[in-house]
Amino acid sequence: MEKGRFIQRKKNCRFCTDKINYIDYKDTGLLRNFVTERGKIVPRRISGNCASHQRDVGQAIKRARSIALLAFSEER
Amino acid sequence: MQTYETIFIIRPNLTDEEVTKVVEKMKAVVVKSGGAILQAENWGKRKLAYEVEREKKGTYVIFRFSGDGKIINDLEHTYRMEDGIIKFLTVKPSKGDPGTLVMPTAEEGRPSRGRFSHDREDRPRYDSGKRTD
Repeated sequence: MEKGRFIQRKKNCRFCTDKINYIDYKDTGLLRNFVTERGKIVPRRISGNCASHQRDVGQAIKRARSIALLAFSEER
Repeated sequence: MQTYETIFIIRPNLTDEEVTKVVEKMKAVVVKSGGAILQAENWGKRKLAYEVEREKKGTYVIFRFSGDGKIINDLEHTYRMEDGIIKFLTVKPSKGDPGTLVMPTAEEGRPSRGRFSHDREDRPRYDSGKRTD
């Protein structure tokens, strides 16, 4: 393939793979995998999450932010 | 009847006795409004991810209770009245919640690193990600 170097392997939703159906806002260790160094939520095209799990992750991150477990924005 | 999970942060300068007093007061509010405490947990003093009312640390207390939605009104009203409480959150656990109230094990208040670091404005990424404060 000529342009092969741009083709990336399809990412699978890690929650679907692990059959996890509940994402806890208190689990900051897990949620930290889905925010950038800046504190932004990582988009689905990069995280590889399926739609429903990405929604759950987003919801959990927002809750965690609200109770100061995660930062709204991380200063550098 | 519903199960709710509520978490609040107490000012760090309160003594252990004062903390216990506040917690007992909140439990009493739930019971008085017709609810029942299912689980309660004190996470102790933790560093906050950001400053809240000029506090950088806070004592996290979390409990689960069952009862009607109107309890939340009473409870959150009491939270607001209580000077020792700087932040609170009440949620209805969604389906599949195992119901654990354990404290997050990850180190406190650090910027994330590792898997994703794709923020455009984060580039160039030659710094060590250390906080300056």
